[in-house]
Amino acid sequence: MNASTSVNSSDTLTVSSGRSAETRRPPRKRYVFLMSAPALLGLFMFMVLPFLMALGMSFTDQRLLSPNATEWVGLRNYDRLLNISWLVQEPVSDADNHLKQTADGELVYPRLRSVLRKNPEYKEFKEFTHWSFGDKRVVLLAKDPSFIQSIINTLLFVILVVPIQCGTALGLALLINQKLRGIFLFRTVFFSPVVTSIVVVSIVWSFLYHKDLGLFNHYLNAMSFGLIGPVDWLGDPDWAMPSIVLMSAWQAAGVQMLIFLAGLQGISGDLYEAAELDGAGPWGKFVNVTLPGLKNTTIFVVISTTIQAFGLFTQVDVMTRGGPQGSTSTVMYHAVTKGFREQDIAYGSAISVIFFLAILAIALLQKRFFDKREDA
Amino acid sequence: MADVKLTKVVKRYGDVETIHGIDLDIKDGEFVVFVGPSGCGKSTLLRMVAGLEDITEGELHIDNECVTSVAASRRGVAMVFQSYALYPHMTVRENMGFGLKMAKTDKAEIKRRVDESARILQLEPLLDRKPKALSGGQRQRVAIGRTIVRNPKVFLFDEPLSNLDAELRVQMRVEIAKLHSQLKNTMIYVTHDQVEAMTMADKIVVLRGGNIEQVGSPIELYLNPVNEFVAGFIGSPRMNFFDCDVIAQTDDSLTLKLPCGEVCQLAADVSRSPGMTRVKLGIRPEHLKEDQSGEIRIGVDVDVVEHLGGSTYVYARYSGEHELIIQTGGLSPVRRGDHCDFSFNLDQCHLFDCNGLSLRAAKPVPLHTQAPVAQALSG
Repeated sequence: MNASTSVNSSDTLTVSSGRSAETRRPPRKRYVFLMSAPALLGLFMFMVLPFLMALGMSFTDQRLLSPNATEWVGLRNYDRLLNISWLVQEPVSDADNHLKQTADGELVYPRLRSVLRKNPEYKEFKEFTHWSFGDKRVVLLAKDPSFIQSIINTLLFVILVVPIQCGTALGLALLINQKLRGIFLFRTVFFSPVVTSIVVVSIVWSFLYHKDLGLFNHYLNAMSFGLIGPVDWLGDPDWAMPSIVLMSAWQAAGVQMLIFLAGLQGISGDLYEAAELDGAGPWGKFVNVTLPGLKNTTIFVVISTTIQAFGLFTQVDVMTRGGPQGSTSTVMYHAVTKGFREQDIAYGSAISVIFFLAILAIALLQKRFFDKREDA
Repeated sequence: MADVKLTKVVKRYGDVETIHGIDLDIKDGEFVVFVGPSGCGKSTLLRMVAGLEDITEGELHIDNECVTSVAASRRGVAMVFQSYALYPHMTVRENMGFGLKMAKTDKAEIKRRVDESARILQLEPLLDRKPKALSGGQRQRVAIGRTIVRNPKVFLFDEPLSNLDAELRVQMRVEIAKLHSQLKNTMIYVTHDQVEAMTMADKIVVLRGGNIEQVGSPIELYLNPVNEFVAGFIGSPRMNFFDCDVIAQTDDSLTLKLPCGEVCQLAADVSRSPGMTRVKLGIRPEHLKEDQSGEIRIGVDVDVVEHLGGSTYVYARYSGEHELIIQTGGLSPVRRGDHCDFSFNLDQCHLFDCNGLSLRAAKPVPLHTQAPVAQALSG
């Protein structure tokens, strides 16, 4: 009203009626913005802005601590990340055109390093892996072989952990959905790993997995009457990733268990009774009532578990530091190693950008896959 | 096609007994309705027949075979649920054929039987739809179709029409009655709606508090309720009751003083309860007449009048305190606030002692009102 005092009388009427209309109906948009501002500000400062900075940095040669000025390098970081190539090598033969062989009877090929150095086309490339094709040897090259290795490890982890973790969660949910006395205790027990710090869990499981002192090896040894020798769970490249998968599934399954439990409790009891009258046994009921009834829950659980699994870092950092022989290095671990430990923050940024796009694509694909099945 | 026989059937949940030793004979091909108020145990009883609840004590025979501890799927029963309980991810065809699929029936045979049931229930155009694409009535028909496909000995219905709107309910009621006359299977139907019970049943079983109050044909229950509860439960609107003082009694009659002071004499079988001082007189709303042709006349103060077109319900007070309902002709001139006289005949009255048991001799039930099965048996 104060604003209207300085204007002439006819205007006063319009202004004041406008004001009174405004007081009757509060400006909703303004409040919405005001109320969500703290959260939006946080999101912007800690998610959006860092991501945009990472995106920008990924096109430079920025290092964490460097006397040199930052320079624009275009797509160099991405080229280093993603560029792969291959070459085919013929075996070396002697003057009589006989193939040279080692003492073990294996064919001899030209030294790869010499070949790569000689050919400017293969500048910066390193061997990622090789395999034989008849007499020839095919060598797969990458500018950053450990990134490619990390991608493969991450995919392996996701492929293993998602079914194991979701399956465990569903199994536990089925168990704790029983109407038994004290079932609340079991719910708490099964959920407790989730509220325990992953660092603590990782350290404890490192002890359990220990080759000489670990509980697992002790039990394995005792139960197999000494037949199964000590397994170097975290030290053997073949076992390290499966060991981390098992521990991660155990630690995180509680969350999915609760979501599945909510889903289970949403299925009408009449359907089970109808199925019982229709002659379905426990398995028949599970396949024909429980699983279809949990479809939407399963979609959510699988997508969220997948996204979570792609971010594997802490367990690796605490338990294996990416080893042995890079067998547990993941994309996230590689990004942190490159970006912070090796201080190449521009390259680390490029890894995170690629990683973000990959997860986005996978989540969208999964959603489309499930949506299609919904329509079918 | 099968008889169902319950012998001293008891249900207990821990220490709480909900069904107290029920004996019941259901003849082959009968349409039996369990009716009663909420919590009377009618659904529990049906679920015990279905095999969804264990029978704590007693025996259940279906088709002369003891099935007390036989699994639900092997009892030869099929059930229609109130919630329809259709499998949401299956088409109508898959829903209907599921029981046969579980029984590992040949695919061609499943198709033949599903098609036949679909024809009976006119579900053919819906066979490839999913339940969410169906209306309530269609879903209920599919749920019924699913039971027909299995060709059970006994059909069980657990309040199947409760989720439908009034019009559809009447329509489905007729369809289920038709289905029964077509299939001639034994059917047990649970409802709390006494109109459904009256219109569909060959035989009504009235339950209260886990006990059977009375078993009989709808008209038998209407004419000869054995106690006050059945008298009040069967018939709509419900029967009016007044307390009356007993002035004199002989072996076969009672002289009563009505609340308005009028004295009348009624035939009654009082051998069971001699020396009564008070009894309850019951008169149905449709037996109170607007004209003065009845033997007993009462003056009432009218509170509310409901004109339904075909009939009129008058809610009134009699002698100041007794509330009563009167059903009269469609265009009754009675208005709210009126004081007017109604009359009734003594032979249409019911009498109940202080324990609620009927004191009147049973009236003969006309043969044409009985179900075909009962007619055949009595014929």
